[in-house]
Amino acid sequence: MSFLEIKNLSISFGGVKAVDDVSFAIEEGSVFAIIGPNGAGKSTIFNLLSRFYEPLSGQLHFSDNDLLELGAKDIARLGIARTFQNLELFEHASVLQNLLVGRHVHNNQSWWRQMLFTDSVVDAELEHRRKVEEVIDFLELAHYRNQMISGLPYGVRKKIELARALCIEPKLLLLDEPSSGLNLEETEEMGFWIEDIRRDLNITVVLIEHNMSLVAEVSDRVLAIVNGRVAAEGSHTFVQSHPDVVSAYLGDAK
Amino acid sequence: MMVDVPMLFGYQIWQSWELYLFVLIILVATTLIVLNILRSPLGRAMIAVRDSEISSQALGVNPMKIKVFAFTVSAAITGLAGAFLSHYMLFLTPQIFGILLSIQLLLMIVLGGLGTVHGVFFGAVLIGVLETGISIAKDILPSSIGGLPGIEPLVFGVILVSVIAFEPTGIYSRWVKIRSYMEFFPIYRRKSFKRQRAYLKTERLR
Repeated sequence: MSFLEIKNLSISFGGVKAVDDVSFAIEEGSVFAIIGPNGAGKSTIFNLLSRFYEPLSGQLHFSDNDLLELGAKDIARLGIARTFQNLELFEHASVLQNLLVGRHVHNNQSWWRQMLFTDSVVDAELEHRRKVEEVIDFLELAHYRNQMISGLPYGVRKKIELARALCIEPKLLLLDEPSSGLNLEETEEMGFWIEDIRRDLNITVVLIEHNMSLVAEVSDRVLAIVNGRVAAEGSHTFVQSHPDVVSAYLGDAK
Repeated sequence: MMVDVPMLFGYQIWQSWELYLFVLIILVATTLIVLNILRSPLGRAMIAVRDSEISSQALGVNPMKIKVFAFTVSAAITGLAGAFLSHYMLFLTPQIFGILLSIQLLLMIVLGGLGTVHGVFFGAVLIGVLETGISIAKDILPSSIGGLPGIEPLVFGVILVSVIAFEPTGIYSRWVKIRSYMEFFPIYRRKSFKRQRAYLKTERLR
């Protein structure tokens, strides 16, 4: 069985079939890109994987776990981390606090120990902090460590959201439009980081992306979704020249 | 309803300073526990659930569990305080727990600063002083004004409304602003305390 396997996934909102019979599989250690026009159902697939939505039909398997048996709060514990298209950071907290929330799944101290802040909690906190500092070094966020999120520019928030997802120490990372709202230089930087995440941290990455040069640069396989259906799957050159994908983006030649 | 004199390991606390000392010890202990919760993973999970329930779930936080915990802790602390209040009053009637007490307790928190630990102390001291001040003022003022009923609710109500209207974050945040003014003396960045326009709030996942 594959690392992540999605079979015949469907969901509809009212009369709209947002995701219609989508199947694909992702190998461990690869970078998988999902492309498609706006409203094609790309983010809906991520929200289904995060278990925010209940699918109409279909199966979701992640390394021998049936995701449909789990709730939204259990997904992170399996090692699936994600970012959001429109950023869901904790606005009224510092960068450090945001990243430490990412360590929540690794916390196993009982509530009364936390209330009394016993030695075991202190040790665990130091360990969490050490791991967070590694991520801060990796993404070069040291400068912002103690600032509040509500005062930070968009590009930095984007990086912090990626950092928070990395703090989970995930096996699978879902990135929802990592380059949206970033300038050319920041997008290039994001490309390098995705490469590093795959190579150095050994994390499988799935990304939704509109920037084709970034997709071509980092991804092994590309899946094109049009109107909730799979239009093409394969290498980025194959998908980009596929007639269905071209007509979805540019309209028919007729 | 009469309340018995508090007993501590067989020792009766008769003197008011003894009760004060005992309550002070409990207050310090409770404050330490609250501060511990705030800096522990539990406290961070509470912040997470407050700011974005959806992404806290994606990070493995169980919002329901955290909400129940927050409710339980706040109810436990309030219950503890209530127990000491009854020992302090020694005689309980339903009339004591009217709207005025509710307003006072709410005002302590709002005046001090919502979501801060320091703020509650500022608020409680101020309201305590204010209450005594009003009863002194009542004696000084001519009886045609001082004898009127409902002066206390009026004063507290005006303070509550004006704090919410002009300083919604309370005295503690005013103190933070003054402190930062001192720190960066010649340059004051008024904008740094203005609420930033949230990005793309409309398209947020709900």
